[in-house]
Amino acid sequence: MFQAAPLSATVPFSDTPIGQKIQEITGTRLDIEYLVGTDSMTKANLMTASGVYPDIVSAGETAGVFIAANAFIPLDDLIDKYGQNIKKIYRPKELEMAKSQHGVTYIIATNRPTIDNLYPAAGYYLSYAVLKDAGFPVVKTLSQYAQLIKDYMAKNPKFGDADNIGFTLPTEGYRVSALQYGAARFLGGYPNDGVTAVDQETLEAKLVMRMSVSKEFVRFLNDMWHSNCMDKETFMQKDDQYLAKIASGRVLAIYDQRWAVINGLAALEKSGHYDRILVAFPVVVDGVEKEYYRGPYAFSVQGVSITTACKDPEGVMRYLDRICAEDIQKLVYWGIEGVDYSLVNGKFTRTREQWLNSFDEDYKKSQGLEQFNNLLPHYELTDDPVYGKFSDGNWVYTAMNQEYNDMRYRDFEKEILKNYGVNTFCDFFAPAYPARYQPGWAARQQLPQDSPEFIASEKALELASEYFPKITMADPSQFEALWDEYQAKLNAIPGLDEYEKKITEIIRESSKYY
Amino acid sequence: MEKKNGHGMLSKIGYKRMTVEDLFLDIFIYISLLFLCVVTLYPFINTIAYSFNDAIDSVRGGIYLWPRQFTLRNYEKILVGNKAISQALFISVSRTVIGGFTGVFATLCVAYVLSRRDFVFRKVFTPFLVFTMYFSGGLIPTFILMRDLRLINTFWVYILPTMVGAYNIMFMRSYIEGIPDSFTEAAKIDGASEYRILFTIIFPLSLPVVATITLFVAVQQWNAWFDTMIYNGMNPKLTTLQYELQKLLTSALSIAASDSDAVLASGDSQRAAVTPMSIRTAMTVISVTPILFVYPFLQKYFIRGLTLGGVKG
Amino acid sequence: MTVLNENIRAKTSLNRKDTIWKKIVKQRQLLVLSVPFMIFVLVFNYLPIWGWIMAFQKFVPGKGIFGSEFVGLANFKEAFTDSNFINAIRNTLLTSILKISTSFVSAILLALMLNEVRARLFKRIVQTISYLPYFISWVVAVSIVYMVLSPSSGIVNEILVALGLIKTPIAFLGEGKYFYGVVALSNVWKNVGWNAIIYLAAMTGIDPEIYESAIMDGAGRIRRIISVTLPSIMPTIKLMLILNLGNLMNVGFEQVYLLSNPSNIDASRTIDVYIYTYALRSGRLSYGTAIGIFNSTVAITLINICNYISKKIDGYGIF
Repeated sequence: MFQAAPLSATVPFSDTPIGQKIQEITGTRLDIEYLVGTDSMTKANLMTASGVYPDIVSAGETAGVFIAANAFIPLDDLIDKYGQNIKKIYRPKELEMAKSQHGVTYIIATNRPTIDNLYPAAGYYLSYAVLKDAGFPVVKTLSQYAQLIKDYMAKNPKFGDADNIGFTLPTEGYRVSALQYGAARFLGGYPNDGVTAVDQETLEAKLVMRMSVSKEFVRFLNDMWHSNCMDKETFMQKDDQYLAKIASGRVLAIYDQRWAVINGLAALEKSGHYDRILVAFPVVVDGVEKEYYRGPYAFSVQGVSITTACKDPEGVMRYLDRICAEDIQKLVYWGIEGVDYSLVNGKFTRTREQWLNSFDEDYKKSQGLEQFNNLLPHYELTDDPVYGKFSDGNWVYTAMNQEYNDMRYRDFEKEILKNYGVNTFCDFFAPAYPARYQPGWAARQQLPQDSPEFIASEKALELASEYFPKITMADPSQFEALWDEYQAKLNAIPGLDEYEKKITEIIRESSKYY
Repeated sequence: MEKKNGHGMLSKIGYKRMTVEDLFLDIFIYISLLFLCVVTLYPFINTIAYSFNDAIDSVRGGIYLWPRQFTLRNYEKILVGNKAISQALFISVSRTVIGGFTGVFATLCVAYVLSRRDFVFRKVFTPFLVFTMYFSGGLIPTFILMRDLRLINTFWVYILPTMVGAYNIMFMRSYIEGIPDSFTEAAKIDGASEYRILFTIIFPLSLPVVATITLFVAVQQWNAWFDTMIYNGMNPKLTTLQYELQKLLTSALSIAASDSDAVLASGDSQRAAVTPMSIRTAMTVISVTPILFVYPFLQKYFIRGLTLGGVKG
Repeated sequence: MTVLNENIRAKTSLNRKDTIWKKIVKQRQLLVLSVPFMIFVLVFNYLPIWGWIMAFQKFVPGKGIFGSEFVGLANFKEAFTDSNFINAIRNTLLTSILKISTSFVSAILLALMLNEVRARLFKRIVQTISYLPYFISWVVAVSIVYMVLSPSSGIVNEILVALGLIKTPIAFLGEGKYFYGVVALSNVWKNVGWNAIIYLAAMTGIDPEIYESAIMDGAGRIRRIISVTLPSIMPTIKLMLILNLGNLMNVGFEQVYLLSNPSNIDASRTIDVYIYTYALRSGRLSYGTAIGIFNSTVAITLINICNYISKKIDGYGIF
């Protein structure tokens, strides 16, 4: 089996205790080759061009390449015949969605919905020191956000020996997407649809950079820059430096996704600067009512497929179905009974030690715990009472248990939560919700990559990278003129309108299946 | 400072002029070289320091010459409990040695032939070879070729395609051309075959270049992982050390998030996380150390001057 | 003696009157030594060229090469009408010229200096240390470069300001005009030790007697370097120069890509970065191949020109 995403393990899954138990039960061994060192597209192209395939491929976003090369076999009949368990743990709509794009089912989803209630995935962060100083405000609007930063900066220009840094952004490599469209789009009350922002009523997609909210964002940057509240090295820093700044506690505010800054926050925490930790808020521009930071789940189908090179598709399907059965799923998500958890009065419980083990990535990899995410078919990891629970009432996803939150939050975090009177950091945000259409970034992957529309979108991105720093650093009096110049060049790129139209089409089409 | 043999015959004036000039030049050279050493040694020491420093702490930056929070964790993650490493090491060493030998052998043969000005196909083979440095058919056609030659999933895909390297051959040819004909004349008179001339005369006289090329080829083989990834990724018995290290790095790049977060929750210092930076630096140290031991061994072949005995006159 | 020599010479060397077959037979040993390897080159380097046909197609990975549509010169046309591509060519040339010249001069200088060091231990130590950065990946190296050149905390700016050479710190990596210098200097730092190895190896071939006679003629150290050492490695220098000039269009991807950021993209967008952004990331293999063919054509033309010029100047050419 080939896994087309950077998931790696030093201990092959089939050699872990859990993997071995699964081998005993199913009588089959699964060898996995992981993607290494290069992007999945290159490898996908190589495989399809040469026709060398393993039995199973977990194609992720490269699925289109394989399907175009007729590398996958249709799974409908096989699922009907052998997929009892699959039909049990997948919602009918999901199975239909998998069929929708090509008329037949090629993929069984492995990116099932997962809910994280501990921390929001992305947001506008503010240093706890700023929040404390201002009396724990709940930050809602961009103007409020900007004001908080300026006020604090005026009173406390330094942190220890070094200067405070007002606002900064990641700009290295692909991270620059935060600057190009990531930060702006949420401000306008739009969910994450990639380069486009989708009107939630009409499902019409527009390029974020063409919308007024983008202008508002850059105006905010310009304002910060000239109020001495912005990192002067924002546009020329490597991620390392960016994280180091965060870790030093000097940064007051950022926009970013949590997973990207986690190491910086961790280092900050480790050095004991608890009151400089960054807290995220769903900031929007004045006048916007609903925010969609914690976006939709259950959106697109990425998962495993059986290839034409497989000599025994029926056997493989039976294997895939068998691993969806409760006993194996319990093994994967709770572990080996007696070792990773115990059964007490019908409920799964864990000691503190077992909980800590379940947080440890090393332990999980060598034990084989929770390794099915994005790898093989599995249950939903949500709080859905039907699809997220085992038949004996236990949650599939360990995070759904209250103890989980208690274990994960550190003391200082609990204090912050107390001061705000909330249970989790996600409480500031509107809850996540099931998707109503295929997200813009997934729709984008469906466009042929040498189509004029796709190229247009790439050019638009580069243009933003070029202009936004310039406009930010320019004198405020020149803002309007420069922005107009930028818009003129942007609109002159041929194919942009078509891009928006095509994405809108795909999204509207897909909404039938959600 | 030593003085050369002949100087006793020089006039006093000449000697004095040399001393002052000597002194200035030496000072200039030593200072420049010292500066160079500092500037080039620093990044390596810095890398070592990072590799021995706790990964999360490293994020703060500010590590220069030694670790702030010493840990062996980064190396542990790579080497301990990693069953693939010992097999990968074996393969890496094998390809370095075998690839080294075959590469140098091929280079020597072709370089010698091309160094002969009277070689019938000299003007054809040389550009034919040189041009290969400037074009490539592309990844996919090359892959298909390997597939059709049945080289995928074999050890030989590491050795054969890169065996004949134009750059190295040109360099060696240049050196061989610099060997005076007088050395080979005697052998030719005795009616020696080309093979004898090559291996008993040219080869020993070219030791410095041979050592250099050996170094180049060996390092290239040792560092290679891309070919492993493309051709042998599915076969754990044929992966190389660099490939396994890259695998860890790719994995670190993807799990970095949840790892650190969860580790903090435990508040347990035993469970230290790793970051891409910490893996990368540890990887560098692991890969470079063997080379540092090999090079000085080769350096002794960089002997000055040609062995003259028994050939002249 | 003379007759004997000629007989021997007649065995393997060639006369004008020999037909090609006679020549082949005479030199069969040489052919045995070379032809098998030439076949290797043919197979592994030349055969995959058939893939160049992708440049004339609209290659869709799923359809393969035989199924993809033929579009003639469309890809080439697109590249040459894209202002970013033209900009990329300019950046590539500027970066390349600066890079080649600095790395050349520095490597030769280093080799010359090392050659003059007589304390063997010092020489060995310096040599070993100097090529250490070669083994550090560019990712790590660029991280260091950014740190050292940072306007707020970098040591270079601190020294420059302290010495009074500049008033405010310079954002070396934030402005396009410094980019070429940063690329060239960081390249020297990383590779000079390794590049010098070639010249040092060439220097070992110098006959010490030549030095001795130079000393007897009253030549000082510097004079000896200029008149003995340098000319002796001239063939190597010329070879390296020609080969490297052929690579004029190829500045190397990793270093440039890592050093580039939104602020200096105007200067840092080289051909390789352009290919990465517009061709590789979006899977447009045809486009990338087309640009690749352009690069190769320029390179081969360049190397032919350089070789020709070199032959005209002093009769030395590599082919």
